[in-house]
Amino acid sequence: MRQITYRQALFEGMREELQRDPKVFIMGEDIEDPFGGSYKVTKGLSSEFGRERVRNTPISELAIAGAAVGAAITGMRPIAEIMYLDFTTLSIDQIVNQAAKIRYMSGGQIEVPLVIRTQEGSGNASAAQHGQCLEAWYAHVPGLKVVMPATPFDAKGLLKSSVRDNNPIVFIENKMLYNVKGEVPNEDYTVPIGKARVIQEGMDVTIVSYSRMVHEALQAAAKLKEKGISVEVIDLRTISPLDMETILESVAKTHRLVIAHEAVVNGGIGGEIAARVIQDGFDELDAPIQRVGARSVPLPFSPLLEKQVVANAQDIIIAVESIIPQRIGM
Amino acid sequence: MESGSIIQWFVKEGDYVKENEPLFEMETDKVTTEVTAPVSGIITIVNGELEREIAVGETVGYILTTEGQAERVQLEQEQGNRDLPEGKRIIASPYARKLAREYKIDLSKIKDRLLEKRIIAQDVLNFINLSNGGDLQTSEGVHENPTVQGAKTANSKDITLTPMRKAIVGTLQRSAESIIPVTITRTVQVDQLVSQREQLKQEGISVTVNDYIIYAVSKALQKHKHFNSYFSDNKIVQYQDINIGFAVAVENGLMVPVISRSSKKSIGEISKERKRLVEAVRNQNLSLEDCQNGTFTISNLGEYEVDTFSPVIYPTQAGIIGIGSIQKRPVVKEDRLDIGYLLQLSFVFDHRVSDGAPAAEFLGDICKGLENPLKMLIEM
Repeated sequence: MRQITYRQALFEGMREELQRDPKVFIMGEDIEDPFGGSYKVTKGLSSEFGRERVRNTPISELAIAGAAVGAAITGMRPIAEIMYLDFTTLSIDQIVNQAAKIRYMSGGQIEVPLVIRTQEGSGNASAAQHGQCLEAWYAHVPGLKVVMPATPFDAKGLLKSSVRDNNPIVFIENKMLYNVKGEVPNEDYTVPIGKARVIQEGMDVTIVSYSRMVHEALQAAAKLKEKGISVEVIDLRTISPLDMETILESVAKTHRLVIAHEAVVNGGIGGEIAARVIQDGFDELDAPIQRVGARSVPLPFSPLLEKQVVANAQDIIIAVESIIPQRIGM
Repeated sequence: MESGSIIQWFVKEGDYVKENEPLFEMETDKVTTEVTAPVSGIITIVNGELEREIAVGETVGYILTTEGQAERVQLEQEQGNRDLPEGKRIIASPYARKLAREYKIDLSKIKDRLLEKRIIAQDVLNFINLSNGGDLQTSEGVHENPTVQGAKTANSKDITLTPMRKAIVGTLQRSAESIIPVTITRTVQVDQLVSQREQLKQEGISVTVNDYIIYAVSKALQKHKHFNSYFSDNKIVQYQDINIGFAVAVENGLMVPVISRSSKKSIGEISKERKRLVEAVRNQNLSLEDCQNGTFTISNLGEYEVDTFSPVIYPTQAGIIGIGSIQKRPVVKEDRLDIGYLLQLSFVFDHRVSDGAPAAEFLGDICKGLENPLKMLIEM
């Protein structure tokens, strides 16, 4: 199968949806050509589809989200790009108080087929206001779905599912994944929202992860394999709704769980997963659940300090080894 | 105890009872006992029919104290039935507890054998294996069959894995997932060993072929230390002590007791320790320590008249020796046919740790020792 980047996969997903449905349009800051967006995901789309359907907005995240909600409830299917997840703090009223609530408050009469496309993550010294991982905020709000692809295949398939979904979706990409390559078929496909994927099967421990941290988890799994520890890796793909069935099934097999995300541990989605596993899979646990994530400090600008704050494969290995006893084996 | 029933009341409604005076006689599945009044006061019976099953904690009546406060009389747990005295709570993982429930294991027995603070599933499985030879089925009779699920047909049935089978499968899979095994084989003529054993037998001393081989392997490992190791995380971890495990077949499985510091032991000491361990396997009282910290393993199928075979390396070791049967065979001696006792040894090693030539030298040293056991035994 052909290999394309995560960026290219997202581009194709949007392009195909623009072709498929005239109601789909994109709005955001500097997304038109020749600039083509801060991370160049939309580059080429305004030239192909025109500035009616791929349109620049003023620098107001509140206005982008508000206009997108308005368009969505009046029959369009907007994809609103917010340049950084950090900046959605300015649009959060429209996302949380309007988009997430309208369907419920109208007694189901009004649907909100809206995609907020944004990106998060550390790794390029983007400092405290441009690299936060705030996904747990949105996962906390009933009425929102939060989608976080880790691979080009999922990026395209999930973006297309998101555009076709009649509910508001916060679609969070990761800035360090844009150049990651992976297999993506030529033909049309979608990936279901709310279904996790077991990327690698194993016996001794389950690592649950999503977005960029999946790649760290796979690295950790490869190193642990050399030490004779067999790791099952699960990519959540969607953090709301959570696919607890897949997680619980895996824990019932391995009896040990490590949850790894780039976001800070404190208040992160890892805590929610841990709580649900304790509630529904308590008898299967053979060791305390470990959470791996960033320290509770603002992200430093210095790349060296940034590395100290954000967790990586080595931290996952340490967490796994802390719950794999020496006395394993017969 | 979960419930009991009242056989007779010693008091009736409205009676005044004194503290510690008997209230009623109670029967449980184990004992018949008297329940006494926790305080003095006037009795009110609310739920006291005879011979009805009453759950522990259910209220059967009240005692109105002189201060005007009603004291509940409950069906109380017998004191002697508590599994442990105060302050000795067993710490075990939820999954270990689940297994203990399923296999009806008393966790306090495992606790006594364990140095670690928390009992985990592996400890329960080890305990079951050591005490039952792995024959135990779950109380429900069904247990999940991991991964491979073939299509069920009228011509097949699922056989539940015993805990021992499960443990063996886990060990094998771990080995197969990482170790890159290579097997080399060599035949050794053991006439002297056979005659030496005969002589010793006449003296009333029984030394087995395994004893000689454990001794020879220990000595060879002392020289070829790189095989007393395992591969991990892109490095070779070398063990200090030489602890030789030897596989013992039991019904539906196998166990691998370990002779620790075997290179520091004489053949007599090895023989004695091996006998103790084999006895413990038979009597099902092998301790966890007896099976731990092996650094190298031997496996002998000689008694089944197997010529040679390649056993599987234990995941945290680098090699294993498979031993065939000693057979009388024609041999060439000074260009003439002669009769000799031949034994085939196969050495399986993790290729990541070392290569064919050093492995051949290691196996060669073992064979040299077995060829001339007297020389091997007097060499320091």
